Amino acid sequence: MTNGAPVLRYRSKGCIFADILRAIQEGGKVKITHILYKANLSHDRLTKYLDQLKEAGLVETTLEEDKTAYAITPKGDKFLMEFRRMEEFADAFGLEI
Amino acid sequence: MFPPAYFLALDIVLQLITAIVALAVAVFAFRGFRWVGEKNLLYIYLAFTLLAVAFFASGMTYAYAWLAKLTLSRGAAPFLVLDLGLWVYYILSIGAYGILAFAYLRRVRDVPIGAAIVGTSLFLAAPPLETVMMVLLFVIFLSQLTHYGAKKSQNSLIVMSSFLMLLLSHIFILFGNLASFSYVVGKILQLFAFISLLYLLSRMRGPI
Repeated sequence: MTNGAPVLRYRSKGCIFADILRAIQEGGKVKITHILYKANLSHDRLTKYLDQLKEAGLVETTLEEDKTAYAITPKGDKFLMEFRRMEEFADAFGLEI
Repeated sequence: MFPPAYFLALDIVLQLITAIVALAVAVFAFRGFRWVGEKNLLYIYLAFTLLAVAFFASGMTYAYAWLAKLTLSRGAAPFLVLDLGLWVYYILSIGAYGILAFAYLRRVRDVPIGAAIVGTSLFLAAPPLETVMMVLLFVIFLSQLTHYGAKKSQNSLIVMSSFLMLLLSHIFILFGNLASFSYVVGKILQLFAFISLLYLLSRMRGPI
């Protein structure tokens, strides 16, 4: 019984990256608060992952009204496309990613 | 189980085609693993790599037997080589299906206890290797059936059908001792199982 509460499940690093990238892709150029809400992560963890994504060239940052805005790069788009494909592939086998 | 003489040449071709398809699935899963770094993709990659090597090894063993029959005056290849080839096939196949069964069962609680009971029973009963493969394939098929029941997706149906065909193929091959036709049916089912997986891969190629 979950009593209506969301079922928590372990998310791999790849899955967290995909959730963050999806949040950015949906919003175009987004602030960290938007990603925070969508990706369901603490501020510290999200900052750490965003740094890693930026280092890997999957997101880029710009300054919008003196605040950092995040946008997805073509490499990030490709990662998301590949992730969805693999999600579908693993799901066909009845396995989660 | 060794193929009937009249089917030997065709069986070589079937085993090699199956090996190529298994390798294609392994490469696809490995590509995904490199992108995503997810363990379940690694399990699919390892399982299908082992299957590819297993089918290649059995194909080569049959090819050796076929060539030996053509060239040796005794008309039969040395048993040591044939036995070795078939052992490689069985051990690698059991390893491959074992990895897949583990990938499904690791999500369930109390798996170590269940696995220990099943493992001990299999060890003590020492069933034929073909039976061990059937038990593992049955576990995989049941997991996929449960998943298909929940998701009802076409891709799940393809994978579930292919593992059902593989399970049936091993049952038919087991009865190949009684009627050689049963062996042939088993091998054709095995080919259809892997063609289904190839169809799954073709569905994954397009843009999502």
